[in-house]
Amino acid sequence: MKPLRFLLLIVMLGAGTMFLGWWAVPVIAAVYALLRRDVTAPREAMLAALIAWLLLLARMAQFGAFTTLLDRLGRIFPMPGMGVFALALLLAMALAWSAARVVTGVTATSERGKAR
Amino acid sequence: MRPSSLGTAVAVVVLAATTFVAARPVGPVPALGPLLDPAHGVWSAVTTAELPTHASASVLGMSSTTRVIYDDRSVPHIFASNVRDAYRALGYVVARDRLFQLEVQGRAGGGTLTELVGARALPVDRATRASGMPRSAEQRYAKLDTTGAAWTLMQAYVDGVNAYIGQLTPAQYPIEYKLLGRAPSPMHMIDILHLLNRMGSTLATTSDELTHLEASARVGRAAADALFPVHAPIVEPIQPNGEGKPRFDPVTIPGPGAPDPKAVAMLGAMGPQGPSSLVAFAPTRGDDAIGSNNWAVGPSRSASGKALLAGDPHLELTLPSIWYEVHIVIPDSLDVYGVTIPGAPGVVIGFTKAVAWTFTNTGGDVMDFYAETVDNAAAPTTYMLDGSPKPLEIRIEQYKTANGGVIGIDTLRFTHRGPMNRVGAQWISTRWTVLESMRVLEGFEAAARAKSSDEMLDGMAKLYESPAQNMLTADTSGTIAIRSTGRYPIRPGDSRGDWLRDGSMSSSDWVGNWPVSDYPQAFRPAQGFLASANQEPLDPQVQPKYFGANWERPWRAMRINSLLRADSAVTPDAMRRYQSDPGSARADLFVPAFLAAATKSAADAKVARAATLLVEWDRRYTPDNKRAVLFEEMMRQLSLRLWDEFRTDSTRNPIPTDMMTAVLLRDSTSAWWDDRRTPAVESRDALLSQVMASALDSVTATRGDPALDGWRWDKVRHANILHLTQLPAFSRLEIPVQGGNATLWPSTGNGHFGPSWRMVVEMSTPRRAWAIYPGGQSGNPLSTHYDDRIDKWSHGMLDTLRIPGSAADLTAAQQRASLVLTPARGHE
Repeated sequence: MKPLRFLLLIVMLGAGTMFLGWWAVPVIAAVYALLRRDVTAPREAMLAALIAWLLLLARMAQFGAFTTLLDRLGRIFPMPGMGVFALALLLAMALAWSAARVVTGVTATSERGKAR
Repeated sequence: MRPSSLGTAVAVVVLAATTFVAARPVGPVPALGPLLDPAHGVWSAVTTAELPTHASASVLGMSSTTRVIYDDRSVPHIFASNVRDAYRALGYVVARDRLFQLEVQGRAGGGTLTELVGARALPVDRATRASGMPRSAEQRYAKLDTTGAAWTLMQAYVDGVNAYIGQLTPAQYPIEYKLLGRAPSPMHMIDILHLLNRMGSTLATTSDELTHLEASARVGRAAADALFPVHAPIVEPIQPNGEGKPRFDPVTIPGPGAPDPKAVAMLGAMGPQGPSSLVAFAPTRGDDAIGSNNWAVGPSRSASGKALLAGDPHLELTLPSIWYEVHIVIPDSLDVYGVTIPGAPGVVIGFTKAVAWTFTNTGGDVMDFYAETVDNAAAPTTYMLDGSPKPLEIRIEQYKTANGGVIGIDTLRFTHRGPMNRVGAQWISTRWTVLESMRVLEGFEAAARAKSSDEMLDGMAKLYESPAQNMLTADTSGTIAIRSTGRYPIRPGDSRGDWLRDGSMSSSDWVGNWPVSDYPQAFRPAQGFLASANQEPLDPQVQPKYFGANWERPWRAMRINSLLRADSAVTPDAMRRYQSDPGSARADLFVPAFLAAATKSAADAKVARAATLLVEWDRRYTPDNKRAVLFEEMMRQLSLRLWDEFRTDSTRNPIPTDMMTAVLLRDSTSAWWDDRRTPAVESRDALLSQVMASALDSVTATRGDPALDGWRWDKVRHANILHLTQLPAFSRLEIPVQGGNATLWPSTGNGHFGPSWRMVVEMSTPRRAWAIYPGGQSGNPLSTHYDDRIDKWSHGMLDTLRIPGSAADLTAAQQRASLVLTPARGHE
């Protein structure tokens, strides 16, 4: 994993979320996997999505109301506020990994087909 | 290394599942993608929790720069150069703090909540539309004068609201929208009319004929007439009668009689649905926790020699609060401070440099029901009037979701009187002043410009129709005045509106309205003070005409009048203390009756013990009081056993109030005292003694020994302030209160109703004012100003209001934030 490439992926996922929304995560992860064509791509995409969303959430945590938000969310959802926080990160990871993994699998199958 | 096919298959499943839950709501859980998105989702609500120190925005139609300074209580002071800009700014700041509430309240009145929250609101929307309120708003909107002042102000307000909405990014949507997976809708002018109708339904739903019908079907018409009377038997009217104390009018209450066959037949025709379905749109409430207190003291009885005014409307307590505090200044033209209702342009209760005003609900009968004769009971197209069939107005109502899907269709019918609804096999039409009020906001605008009490009340008499309010004023000249203002119908014959009328005759219809000269009113009273607490406003010996029935109990009125009579040098702080006074005229009347009964059952140790505990009670509902709980249980059980004739399996039992119980105390052998469920025939004292013993058993069983803290009043009574979504996470529950049933701080039932805005104003120069409401200025549940006033409110305290004449009058420490609103480029 090249650090610069990985950093760029984090930036892309973070910027994509900021400017396009949550659905940018699987799209960017899929594009990354398509370009990368390596079995490590899903893992890298998952890790990058985790870091990107963690950084975005850390930005929100700078606000004084963040602890109040966690407290309120903990009373709305059947889990503690930090559980909702973790759920957000899990969602990003699942979207990124699964999208990248699907692309990696499909491209590998397609390349196998061509090789035959 | 090659990726495995199994791994790919698993990834497909995971991708499909996560995309599904991210993109689509599952049951009550919104789509997780937009909700948990760290840039735009629920997290971003923290970025708008507090107002930025400085902000600016451009607003369509704004003619000049308007400055808004938020003080340290988060109250916006709007400094504008003209009234239209002021109302634009008002719309903007209200939307900024209360956007979700603004939309919910408009939709609640318009019957379109399903479009915001989905099918769960369908029953509420159906009831609202069946009430005729949305149709009425549409008709009134179509008739509004587009060149009039009301139209201009409404348009300016809506422009301000929509300017704010238009500048929002999805990340800035209020958190409720994020949880619902929705976006704010633009406001329309008709939403203002929807909101005003909603207030009318809260305050002016007077279904006395339904109560009488049900009572007559149980105990006969004579008993029903006596127990749900046209005139209150305890007289302490709003318009002073010069007697200086409450009067107990002699009343004979006949014993329970045979059911009235006509009422039985009508109820039978209505079936199990029952007449209460006709008012399903109105909020259910407990006793007098909805109602209000207000009083004013003239210079002769105030310590400062200035007129004092106290306002204390009791309404549903919600988060955010129904009220939003605001101050509008237009140099040399307007300077009004008070509270507005989000969605209603203007200050509803407040004060200017010259006049202060506040309202309590009048409760006059402004709603009548008519039994109609139709051509086809299943799907009528005509109704009979004076022997001829008249066509019904048919209206098809569709209920939609946010994405436009139709989830319900109703066919509504209207006679010339108003909406006609089916109850069982019977069709009933409703006539209601709320549906016919053409005046909208002109009264409040006039109030803000009035120079004296007389001018304010005379303006209101011309410009205000519904819901009828006891409008109390005090001004800088020392005048105090009150007038029960609104439109009161005159009916044919005896003019009584507490009986279901025959709809087949036009002679059943209203024949006019009360003239203003007959309204309950008093200007500069000799007694030096005025008070209203929803009691019957006129002494029937002074004005016996039918004005309403089954009046609110007199206990709060008796208490506040007693406090004011005893204090000839009233201070603003005394006014504040009276607002949360824990004393009770009701307890003062009933406790001696219980104790007297106990002396006749002295041999019964349990009754004696209950009497001992009751003697220990100071008849106050303070949070630490350990005896109020016993008295309240006695009163509850007394009502259950005394009025056993009324308790059936029906969903709506008409139970006489404890004002009638008080009247009955004078007749120790009345047949009503007998609890028919026991073999013995009880007299008054026997029943009171039995109730004392069983109440002691009950409270001891649930709360332990009387010495224990379980008996403390703050363990028993609470205010419960729910968020508009009913989410407990955004609500404040189990707040201790210093009050109970029929105290000046009324608290009954589920604790969802109570004092919503306490205000005290001294009409000195400069004005001095103190106030509070249970909530906070911000509608954002994450804000420090969301519920910051509740603790002070629960202790009966008030904030000192800042009333700057100009922006420069507020020191830097008193300023929390500022907002500059400028004309949008390309517009005037």
